[in-house]
Amino acid sequence: MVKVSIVIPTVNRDLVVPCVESVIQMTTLDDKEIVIVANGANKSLLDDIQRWKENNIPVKCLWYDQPLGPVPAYNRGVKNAVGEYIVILNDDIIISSSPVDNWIKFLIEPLENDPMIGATGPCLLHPVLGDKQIPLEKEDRDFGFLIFFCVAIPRRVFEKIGYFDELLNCAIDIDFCLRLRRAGYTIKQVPDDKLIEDDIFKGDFPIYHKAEETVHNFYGIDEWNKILERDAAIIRSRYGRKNISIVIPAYGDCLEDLQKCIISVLDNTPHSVNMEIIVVANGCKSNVKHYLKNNIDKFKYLWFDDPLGFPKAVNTGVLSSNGEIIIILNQDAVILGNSWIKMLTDPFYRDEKVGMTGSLKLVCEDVKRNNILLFCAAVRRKVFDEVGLLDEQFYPGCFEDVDFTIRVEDAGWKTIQVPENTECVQTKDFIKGGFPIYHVENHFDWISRENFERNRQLLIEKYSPKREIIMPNWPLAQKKYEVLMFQEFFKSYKIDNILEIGRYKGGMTRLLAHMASNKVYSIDINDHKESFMDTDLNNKNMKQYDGKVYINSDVEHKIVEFNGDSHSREFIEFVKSKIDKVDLIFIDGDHSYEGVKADFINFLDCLKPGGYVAFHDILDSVEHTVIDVHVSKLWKELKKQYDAYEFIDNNDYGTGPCRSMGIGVIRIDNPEHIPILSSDNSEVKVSAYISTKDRYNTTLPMAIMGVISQTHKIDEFILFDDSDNPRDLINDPVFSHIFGVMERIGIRYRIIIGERIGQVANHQKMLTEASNDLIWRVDDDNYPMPNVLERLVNVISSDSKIGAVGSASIVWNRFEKAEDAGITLNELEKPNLQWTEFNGHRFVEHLHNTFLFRKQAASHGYPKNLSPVGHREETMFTHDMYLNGWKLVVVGDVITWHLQQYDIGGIRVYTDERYWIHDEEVFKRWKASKYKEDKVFILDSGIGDHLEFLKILPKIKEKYYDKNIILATCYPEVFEREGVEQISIGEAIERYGEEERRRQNIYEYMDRNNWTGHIKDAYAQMHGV
Amino acid sequence: MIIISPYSKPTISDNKPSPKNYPYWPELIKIIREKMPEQYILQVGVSGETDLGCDCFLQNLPLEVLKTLIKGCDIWISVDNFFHHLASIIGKRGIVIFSLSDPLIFGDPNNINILKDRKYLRADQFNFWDNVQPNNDAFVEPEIIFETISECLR
Repeated sequence: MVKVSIVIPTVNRDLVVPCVESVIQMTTLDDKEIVIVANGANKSLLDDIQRWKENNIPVKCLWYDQPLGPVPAYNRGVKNAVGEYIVILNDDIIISSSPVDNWIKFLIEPLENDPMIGATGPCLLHPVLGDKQIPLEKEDRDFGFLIFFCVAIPRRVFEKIGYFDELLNCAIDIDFCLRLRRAGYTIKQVPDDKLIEDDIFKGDFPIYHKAEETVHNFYGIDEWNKILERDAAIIRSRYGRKNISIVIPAYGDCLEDLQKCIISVLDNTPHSVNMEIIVVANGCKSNVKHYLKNNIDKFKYLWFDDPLGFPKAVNTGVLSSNGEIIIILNQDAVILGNSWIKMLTDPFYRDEKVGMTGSLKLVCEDVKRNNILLFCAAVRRKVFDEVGLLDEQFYPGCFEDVDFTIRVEDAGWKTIQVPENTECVQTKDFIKGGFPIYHVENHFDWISRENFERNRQLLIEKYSPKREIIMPNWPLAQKKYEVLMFQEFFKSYKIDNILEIGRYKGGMTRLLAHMASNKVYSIDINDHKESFMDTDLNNKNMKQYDGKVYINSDVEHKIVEFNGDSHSREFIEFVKSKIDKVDLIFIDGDHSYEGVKADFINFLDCLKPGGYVAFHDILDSVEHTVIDVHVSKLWKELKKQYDAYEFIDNNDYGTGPCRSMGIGVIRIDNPEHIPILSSDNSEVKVSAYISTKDRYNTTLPMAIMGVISQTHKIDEFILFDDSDNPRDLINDPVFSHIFGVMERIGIRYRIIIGERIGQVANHQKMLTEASNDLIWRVDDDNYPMPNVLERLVNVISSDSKIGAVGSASIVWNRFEKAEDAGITLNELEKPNLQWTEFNGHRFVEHLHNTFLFRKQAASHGYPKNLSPVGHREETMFTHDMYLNGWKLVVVGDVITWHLQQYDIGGIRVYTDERYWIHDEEVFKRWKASKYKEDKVFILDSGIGDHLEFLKILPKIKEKYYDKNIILATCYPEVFEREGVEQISIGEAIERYGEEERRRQNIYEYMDRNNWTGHIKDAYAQMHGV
Repeated sequence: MIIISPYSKPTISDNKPSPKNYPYWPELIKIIREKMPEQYILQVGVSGETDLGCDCFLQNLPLEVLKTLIKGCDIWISVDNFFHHLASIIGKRGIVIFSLSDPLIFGDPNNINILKDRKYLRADQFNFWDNVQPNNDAFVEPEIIFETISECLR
């Protein structure tokens, strides 16, 4: 296991060799790796690397013929490093003599001891670039920054706040440290935590750094000074002044409202205000994404396919904001005057104790406390730092504002309605203050009454006395600390009604009745044999309880008994017709896997959104197995898919074994959504195959073993051998064993020698060779974990419309976030969703290298005309399934390891770049044929005119939504983020002719039409938008 | 921070300075320096353009960097060149000094487009700029530009 990766970007062998040698001498490398990012370096460096490798030095080289630029080189190194901690060293560093490992301990130990330290390094300074002080806010200046010539950063920090900003050249250290600060991290100079003001290279850290001499030599002093100036200007503009961030959560079908809101903000905000707008689009329609993408220069946006709820959306925006003051604005608010910013923010500058302002401050009658309504409110960043973000328990919204205002006031901050000294006029239909805003909202347009009431109760509970935890003094078939922890967990949660499945003698029923303010609906089959195993806490004899533990107790009136079979459809419907929605379901009935699963699924829709389901006897133990208790199997499946909590008491009370019982609780936001659970698919037959080429001695044996070692045994295995010199595998010393295992466990197998015309031919052939309807395709550099096929079969069997399902396909040393992944055909530049891990499953529009599919869904076959490489073959193959109406699914919690082999075997043996280019062309043509005709716009004009055309591009895209838009441009950089195809003017003339170029020339058009209006309108008229 | 983008591209055929260039930049910068000493002045442009002696002169910046700078500045001033089109994409208002080209056609109405007099506009707004003679009389005085800056920052 690699703990530390030492990343050293270099363009200069003469510098990096002494640097690496000093690292080797001064470091124990057992749990470390050295990653050299050689970009534009002399090839003789490869000899040094070979020498180090021969001496067993764990060195990895990322080789690029040309210089990447400093920051991309850093990022390449970090992304390819596998250590838990990344140490970045400039190549002009020498680790000085000191005890071995001293330097690395200085860097790493603080990070291990404190998870909130985001970076360590030997040199902490006030932000300065060359001789340029950067005028930052006092807090930012005092925070300082670590110079990144030597710095250690945990990998998890990159995962949280992202990589280095490639817009910068040298100021990434200042920028990254300020981003760390905004994410709540600290930074630490090591070994001493004092700020070094003068000579930076004479601290106690054992290091020598050539510093500016190196960059002066490389860039020249003049060029280096320009770089410093440029980065200083960027840092100044980002962090240099007090900023205001406006966070607008956007949800649903909101395009019109959102546009009005943003236009009103832009129109009414003086341009001298240094502000940023952040739209947090969650669960919005696709036309909103279109709008956001096309206005990326006016505001930042964060996109989430699914709704986050208002509190989480706001929190997400706050976390990515930079402003010292954060304004929260609803998507349907319209600003009516240009004094609004001043009104909201002036109180912060006048009085440092003001923490929050807003256009309306009311009293919440439920808790008799102030409430600044968050449809338009401003919050000082320090307040968020001190009291935390909005409480996301108030999903999807409502009452989080009261909660937040209370927390702000309780922390000693003032909250103010602005403009001050104006009174609200309140009528039945509206409230009017003195603030220039128009906002109409009916809560129940976007929140159900159940959720509204739930959140109200949550607020009341939060600011009301907590429910008392009681120690049951009656017989109870539960463990003492489990029921105490269970009560503790729910003590602040407002519970009206509970549904209990499995009552037996009613010990738990009585406890639940103490927890519920209204009713406990208790179901039992009432046909138990005498096998009472209660943990009798007070040694009381059951006989005194006259059958049920709660009879004659003070909670008996709350309990409603239902006697019948919880698996009977009629009984289920009867119960549902008699009960109200419940806040908690406690399942302790049929303990078989199928039984507890049926109880869970059959009664799930009785739960309120955001309610909880508790399961008893969740422990996976021999003690449970011998008495046929199999709740643990269901519990393991569910806890991956929901927020889950376990309460387990391992004490042995004498009346039952210590490894028994256990309570598991899950929270369910959407009870209408049934999770994917196991079913008995053991009889489902699967044909698996691998198409291989020249990987006999690398990954192929592992790939085959992975396929045949599945918990769901495959019926048939076919190996397509496309190797240049096929071996006799049946008699091969390694493979003969593998085939022997297959024979022993009953897997039919065949080897088909490929035609060596590329992998696609083999994939196509499998469609006819497979003898089963389900085909599992695995690459020869894949290793599926043993549970992959079982899960894929369960998913594909759960819905006859699922055509294919893939597992996560992970390269072990590369991490990608699921939220950054693309799922549509237009997001191919993003990481594939299969390259990420996540809980549960998601629907996608195409799949990556390995997946299980129905033969029936593959009747269209594989794409033709591809090169032997077969680049994008699976994208086209699976997307055609999608277009034919089949669902495609990625299951994110089972992993196939992708043992990527760049230089040995597989399609990488084809080194001719033209194959890839050819296939990309085939792909583009295929995509165009599936979707759109070309529509070309020729911009034979200046960059300013390009920018004017950019303004009407959204309308062009809207009008020609069904066309493939091609821009012929002189300045492609103007449109490089627009996601449109660009060609040169020359190519446009070649394709469409000189006549078309002249017809589309905007100046000739304006001349022809005696134009007197704006050029943008001329473009619009010419193109009819 | 004030950003100035002082020059337009030279004419195509003879590579002469563009007639759209404002002739009084040194005077304007001097006034800003005197009356707003706290302001940091950043000049942006391309290689070969005259360095006007501002606090910083950055050349050949990518559009994305320019956008970042524009977003963070207090005000920007340019002649009729690509810069004001870029700023208007972002929605950051600024001052554009016109002379011979027509702001009604080429200016963004959200900006403050300063034109001394329409009588100086060239007759053919859509032809190339080759052979168009510069005319210093067509530009407003630097004091007027400064007043506009002051008004914007007030």
